[in-house]
Amino acid sequence: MHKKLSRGFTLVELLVVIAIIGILVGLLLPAVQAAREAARRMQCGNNMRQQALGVLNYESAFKKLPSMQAGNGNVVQTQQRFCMSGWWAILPYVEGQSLFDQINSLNGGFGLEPWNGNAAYRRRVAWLECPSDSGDAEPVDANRNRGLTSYAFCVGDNLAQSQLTPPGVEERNNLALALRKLPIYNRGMFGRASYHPLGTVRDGLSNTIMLAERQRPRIVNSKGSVVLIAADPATYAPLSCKAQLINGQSYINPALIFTGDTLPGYRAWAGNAYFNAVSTILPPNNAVCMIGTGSVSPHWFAGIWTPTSEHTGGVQVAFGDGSIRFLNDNIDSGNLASVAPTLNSSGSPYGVWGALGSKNGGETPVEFE
Amino acid sequence: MQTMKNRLLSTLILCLPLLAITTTSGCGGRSLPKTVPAEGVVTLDGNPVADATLTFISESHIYHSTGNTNAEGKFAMRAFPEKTGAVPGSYKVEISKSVQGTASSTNPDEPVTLNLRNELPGKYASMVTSGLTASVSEEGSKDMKFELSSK
Repeated sequence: MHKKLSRGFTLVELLVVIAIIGILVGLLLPAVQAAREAARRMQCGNNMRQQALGVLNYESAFKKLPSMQAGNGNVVQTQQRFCMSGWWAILPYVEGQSLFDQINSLNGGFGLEPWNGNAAYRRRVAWLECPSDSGDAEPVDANRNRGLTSYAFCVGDNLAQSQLTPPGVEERNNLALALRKLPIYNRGMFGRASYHPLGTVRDGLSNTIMLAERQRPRIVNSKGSVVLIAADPATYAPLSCKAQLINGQSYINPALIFTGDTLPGYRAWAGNAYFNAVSTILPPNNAVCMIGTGSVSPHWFAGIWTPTSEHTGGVQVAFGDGSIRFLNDNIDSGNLASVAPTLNSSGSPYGVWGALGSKNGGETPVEFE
Repeated sequence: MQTMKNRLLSTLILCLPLLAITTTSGCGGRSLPKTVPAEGVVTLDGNPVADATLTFISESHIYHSTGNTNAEGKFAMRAFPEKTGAVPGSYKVEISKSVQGTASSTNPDEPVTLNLRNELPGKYASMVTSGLTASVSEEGSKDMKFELSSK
């Protein structure tokens, strides 16, 4: 009887069981975290597929690709307002007709200034937000929080800008010029007021990047923020931009970070390259820089709009054929000491990465994965 | 004797999950290369330049560095946010001094205007045209001189 009562677990047995459970939990927890991020990444890529389908549906309707920056907005002296984003253009093709109509009806049908505080511009849509992106509130000025986005249109391997800057004439201060709403072409699939037929993508739709991720910076000096460089874009080497962010999440020299106005990712409906363009110059998850001098609204500068994400080791991109792929940070980017190519030069100096961005570079298709 | 053994065994087993956690989380630690001081002075036509930005662009490795000058025109380069100094090697150098004249608007609906200028001769702002180089030795270089000319 006495013996029967004493039967049970000894302390050692209990400790062994607890230890084994501990080991299993220790092994499992990191795996669970990784699985959660993998799921977020998948949803993130799924959003991009919706956008790519929206862009291609737009093409089916108009026989042309949408413009990254366009709109029927009014243009006022000193205030360039010709800048609705491509996301606005594809709204009717991604079940967003009501928001499209709501935006279009503002200020009597043509007062489109995507930075104003109207409720329509504060609308957040799920398919524009990558769940891996943790930036939620505008770090510079929460008052300017607008619709959020984690994605951007590919402009290729030139320094894309949002306004015309002929020598001596700034569009912003030249109403007659601004009213002409002239196009700005890029080497990629998208630009300002430039609606390319699919046939102009001569490198092939499956070899040309259409969309890519651009994360919202959580704080002003984190990856995804923009470095402001007072230099001449015509002689600027991207390697200098790369030098600002080395293997890291934050910039080396905080003095150069642009904090004067809304950061990228926090103004979904504005089509400026600053907010909604992605360049194939610096490989993914490097620095983002804008380069130039003069009296302009900083959001209209030329720049190197590097794709960034919070996934480990790369970003997701959508190709012209609608396929979504994960591109590694270490993708070949050629000679970064070379000045960015002009519109009419042929092949890209920036290796496989540059070739994937240009729509008409004439580069031989290559294996890159 | 038996209980002693058991106790020893149980403490050992208890330590295992701790060990597992520390080893798995330990993988994140990444070591940065050695940096040495890279300091000097920037002058324009003989006068020290304050608030200029320098960028050292490496030709031999991937660890570039940047720095700013103080009121006496002196700078100290930094290659990593977490660590001062530059990695030894030879560099191409860019120097610029950007001045932002911001016309801030009180109306949140108005765009901000920026009057961005480079107060140094433009050619020094790009590694392509500056013609400036620097070499940081293994022991560090503390008396670099960049003598710019406005002509």
